Amino acid sequence: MIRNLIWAIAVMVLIAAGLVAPAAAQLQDNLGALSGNNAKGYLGPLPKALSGTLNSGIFNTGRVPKSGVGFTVGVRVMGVAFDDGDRTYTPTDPAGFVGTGSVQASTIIGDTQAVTQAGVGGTTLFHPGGFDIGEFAVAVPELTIGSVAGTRAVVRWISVDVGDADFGKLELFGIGAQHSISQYFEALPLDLAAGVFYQKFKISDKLVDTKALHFDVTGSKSFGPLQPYVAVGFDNFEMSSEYDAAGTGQKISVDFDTESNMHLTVGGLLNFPVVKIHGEVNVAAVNGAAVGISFGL
Amino acid sequence: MRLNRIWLPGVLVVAASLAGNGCILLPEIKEKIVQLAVGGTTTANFDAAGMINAFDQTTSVDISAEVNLAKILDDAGIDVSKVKDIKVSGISYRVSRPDPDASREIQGGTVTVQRPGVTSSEIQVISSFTETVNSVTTYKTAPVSAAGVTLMNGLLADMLTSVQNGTPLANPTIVYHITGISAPTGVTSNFAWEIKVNVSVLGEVTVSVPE
Repeated sequence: MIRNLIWAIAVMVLIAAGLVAPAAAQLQDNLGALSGNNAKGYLGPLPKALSGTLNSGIFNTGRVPKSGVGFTVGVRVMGVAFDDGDRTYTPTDPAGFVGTGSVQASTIIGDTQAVTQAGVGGTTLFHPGGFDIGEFAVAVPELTIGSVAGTRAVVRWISVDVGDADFGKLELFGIGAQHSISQYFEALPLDLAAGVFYQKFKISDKLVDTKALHFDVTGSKSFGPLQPYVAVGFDNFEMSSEYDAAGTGQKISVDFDTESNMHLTVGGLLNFPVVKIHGEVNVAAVNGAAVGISFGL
Repeated sequence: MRLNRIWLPGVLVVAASLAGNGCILLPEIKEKIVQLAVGGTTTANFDAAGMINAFDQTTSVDISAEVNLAKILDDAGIDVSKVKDIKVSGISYRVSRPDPDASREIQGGTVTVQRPGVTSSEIQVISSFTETVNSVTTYKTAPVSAAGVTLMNGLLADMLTSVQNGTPLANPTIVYHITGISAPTGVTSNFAWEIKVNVSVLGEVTVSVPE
């Protein structure tokens, strides 16, 4: 039973990894022709999207038993929708090129058509097209183990080598904990817990390298197997990118501005004895939704 | 019964969100043609060692060997038949070896290009510039001339045709000629200077994208 479960989860995660692999393989090539500043513009929508997805779907109950053995293993799928305003950026002139006027070029989520920019003296610069995507989703396995002193540990981990020389590995590691607050206040009408979660997510080592930190307080109340929950939290997200410049092979490193924002979650958990299903909506760096299924006690 | 009424719709909502194609949490895979820009460079080196008063030197560069178009396309996964255009995107220069004389500079420098077998005259590609050459510098954007860029674009277009047709490229060489005053006069120069031509290539690739 457990073995079948692990295989099912592994297959789901691999499918999710497979979804992004072909596009990511092309990402290095698209970035190669861009200066550091323009790579920052091209990848501009990613930090908010990754912050909105990675920092979602972590905690889906405020109920943490004071003690006892409990564990769940499952999959979380988190998605966000992009704004139209994120589809273009204004490139700056790279070294050696002086544009005769500014242009609007596609970001990674923008139109697939390249943009041609005229330069002084008859020079011409091509800006790569995007992948024309309106939504972005991430699927990860999640394991919870508890409880000691009203505290449970939460772990996310995946490392997938998709076997493509241009792409390399997808790696995600996350660790955190949720501590019961309601254990100190017996008269509270709902279960309340404070949680913290830290994640590192990498694509192809340093092509996309991110760190996410999430705090929240989750409140929930049980009505039979249904457990609605609300969480108020805070997200912090850092991202950098390192790629090879086309032609020279020189390494270019780009650091993105840190994203910090409030995070509000409203969701519901169906808490059956072995199977647990949850769905939620998130108001965060980018608004989105998350669903998950877990198996365990 | 009451509980069923509460959580059954919840199950349906979750199931519906997972069942739909192209929904936010279950992306649909679509093949898309994405236009990709890649780049290449070619450099030419000039050594002013031993020159007095004038900086006047000619250097020949086989552009097809320097800009290995087949390799650039292969590295980027672009099929050669899917290349749409190739153009000069800019020219820059730098001092690669400084002159021991701290006041040494190139004054009124110009660079011309010629493509033997195609053009018989020299065509200006970098117009008048002045540059101190007492230290190694990073690349600086050169003031380019349209006529010279057009000549080089012609060679790049021929390169693309030859790679697409699998035929040898005729007249692949560009002859660069730099002239200018090397000041202070009367003192032997001893510096090296380099120009770099950036090339921008537009091609198409087919990518599977989740949306």
